[in-house]
Amino acid sequence: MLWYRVGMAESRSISERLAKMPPGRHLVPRDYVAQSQRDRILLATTELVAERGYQKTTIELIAKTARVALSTFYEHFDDKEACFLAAFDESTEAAAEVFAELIDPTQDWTDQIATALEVFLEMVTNETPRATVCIVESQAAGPAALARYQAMLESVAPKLREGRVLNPRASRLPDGLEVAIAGGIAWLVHQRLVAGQAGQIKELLPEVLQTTLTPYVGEVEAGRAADAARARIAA
Amino acid sequence: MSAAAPSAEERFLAAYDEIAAEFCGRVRAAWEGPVSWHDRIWAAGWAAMRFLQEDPPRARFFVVDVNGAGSRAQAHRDRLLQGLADLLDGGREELEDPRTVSRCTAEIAAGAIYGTILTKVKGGCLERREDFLSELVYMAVLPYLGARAAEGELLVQPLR
Repeated sequence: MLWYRVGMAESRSISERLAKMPPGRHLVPRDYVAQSQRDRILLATTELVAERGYQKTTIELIAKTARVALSTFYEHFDDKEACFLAAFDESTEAAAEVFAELIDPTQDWTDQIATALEVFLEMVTNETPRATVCIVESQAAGPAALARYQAMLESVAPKLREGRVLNPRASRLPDGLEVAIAGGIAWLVHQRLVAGQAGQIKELLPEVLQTTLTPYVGEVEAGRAADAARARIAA
Repeated sequence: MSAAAPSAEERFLAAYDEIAAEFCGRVRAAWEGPVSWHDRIWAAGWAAMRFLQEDPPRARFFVVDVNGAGSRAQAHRDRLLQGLADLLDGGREELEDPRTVSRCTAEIAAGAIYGTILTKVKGGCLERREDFLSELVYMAVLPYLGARAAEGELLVQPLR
């Protein structure tokens, strides 16, 4: 079980969280120490990669920031790539837990998508380093990371695809539509993160929602959902 | 004293930029022909498709390999996609009230189009000579002409 939650549940910065985590030797069970070390390494990796980029982040710097010995780093991970992939996995797993908790599968499909997109954009705003790792740096960290990024996009396709029942002409829609929509949203967020505009990402919700819903429910209903989102943001 | 030899990354970027310049030149030229935004989308899409189809290994380098080539390569790719978003953003004038949509819609569409091309090229569509232009046009016009009109584009026969 992850010790942190993505987004709303955790408002402290990663640096603050690192400062609160106990370094060094303690009279505590070995498993706890190992877990704490691992968590510190992953948090340091996330913060450093988001700040400096994957290529300019070194293992020495990760160990120093996490306040662990270099040998401790290698007890947990074979190399920088393995550590990055673990940081990516923990972030996406934590995000998946939040989605599972906040999206009610008994709601209308359009409401589920509206909630999912709102939660996603909120997470990107509140957990910018993790979002940067998953959306920006995963595309610059080698083939395994790139494959994970692609898998992340593909993981949202089934939920979007449920919307096809709402379009009587759905058989015409391209097979890859859902992954393409996910890719389009990810690229938009990517551009905002690279431009240092994470704080404004939540404001994108109405247009993101409209574009996402239109193929399934048409532009009129999608427009209504976007207007409702606009009203929520204004409130 | 001779200058240092360019790094692998610099050589990659130089090759990428050369291909990108040719690609953009051909798409721009096609775009300038027709008058309406809708016809321009088709013309530019057709030029892009032909460019990809005529040399699949070049297309793979241009579309797929650039992804795993580091942050600078990503930035070069993103400049190209922002150019695509500029073209798509003209679709706002097709709306009853262009103010209802911002440039971010064009960016989503550009990202979706790129994602579609990436999937198709990775999957070997170019080698199989499969045409997916109508899917790209669908993504381009969907936010501006609406679902019904965009679906109509999917019925257009591939151009050969």
